[in-house]
Amino acid sequence: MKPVDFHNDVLPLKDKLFRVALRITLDRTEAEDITQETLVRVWERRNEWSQIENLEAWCLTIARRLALDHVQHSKMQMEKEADIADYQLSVTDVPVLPDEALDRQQRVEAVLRLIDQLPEVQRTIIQLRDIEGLRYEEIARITELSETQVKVYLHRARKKIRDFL
Amino acid sequence: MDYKYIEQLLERYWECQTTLEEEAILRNFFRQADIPASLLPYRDLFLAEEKMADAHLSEDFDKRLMERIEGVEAKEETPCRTISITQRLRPLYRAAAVVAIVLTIGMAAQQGFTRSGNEEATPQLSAAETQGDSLQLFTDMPEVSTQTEAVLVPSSSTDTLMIQ
Repeated sequence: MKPVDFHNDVLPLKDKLFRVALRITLDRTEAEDITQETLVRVWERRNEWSQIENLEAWCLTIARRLALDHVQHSKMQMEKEADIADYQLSVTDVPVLPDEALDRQQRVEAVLRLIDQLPEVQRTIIQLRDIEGLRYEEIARITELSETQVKVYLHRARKKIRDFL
Repeated sequence: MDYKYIEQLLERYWECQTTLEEEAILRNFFRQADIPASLLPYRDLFLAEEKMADAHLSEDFDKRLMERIEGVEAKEETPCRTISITQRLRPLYRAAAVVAIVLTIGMAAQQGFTRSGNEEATPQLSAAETQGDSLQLFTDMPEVSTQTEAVLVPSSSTDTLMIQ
């Protein structure tokens, strides 16, 4: 097995880690901090690299745990939840207009906001599957769920999006 | 153009039955400009996901990260100093020594004051009391001549004062 190199194998994962952290925290600055913390922790545990079966999934698991801890301990999150609750009202109030009546950009933005207001586990799974292109097995490992549970959450998330579209 | 295949793929996509390759086909399809009206609403999801994939870290991220990692490395390389239990307790010994010195000086000073106080009191007593005591001593010694000498004779069994 080829030895793991931090610059060639770990550092290129930074944007992926950042996007997952961003999907959980919904805050760019916090997501950057979490990405940095994740990479420092990965570096500190470099003695374990040779035993890691899937480096990407391992790094993503660390990032997700850090992001969840961060969200849990953040007072800011409570304010965000309040904002999301406000937004939830506004989303349901959006009138169903014909496609041509809405600007494409606005519709895309509305879908993005809809994804951000999904429960954390659903939006993380959407991110890992549809954006990062991970297999169900890998997502199950990262989210510490079974593959069936992952598919159930993903199905719920996609159904909500489909209903919105 | 027949979009049946795409529609079937989409149906399977909503049911989470598509493979990663099939999902990539859908993504590529919705990237093109010519999309039938029946499928147009779903394009927004794939465009939104493209936008989600476009999030990147700030430019100075690598620099900040490497500075932190170098800090971690430097911390790891700092040799650990082994401190013996004697070295660890040295401050305690020092404190105990200081306390002992202070106590010794204090006690010595207190004794000095007490002694000087007694010396001042003794002359007043000596005139009356010591004379009385000595007189009493002589009266408590019947049948002993004034020439007798008191000799301390050590005895093996008991320490007794024998008068010859």
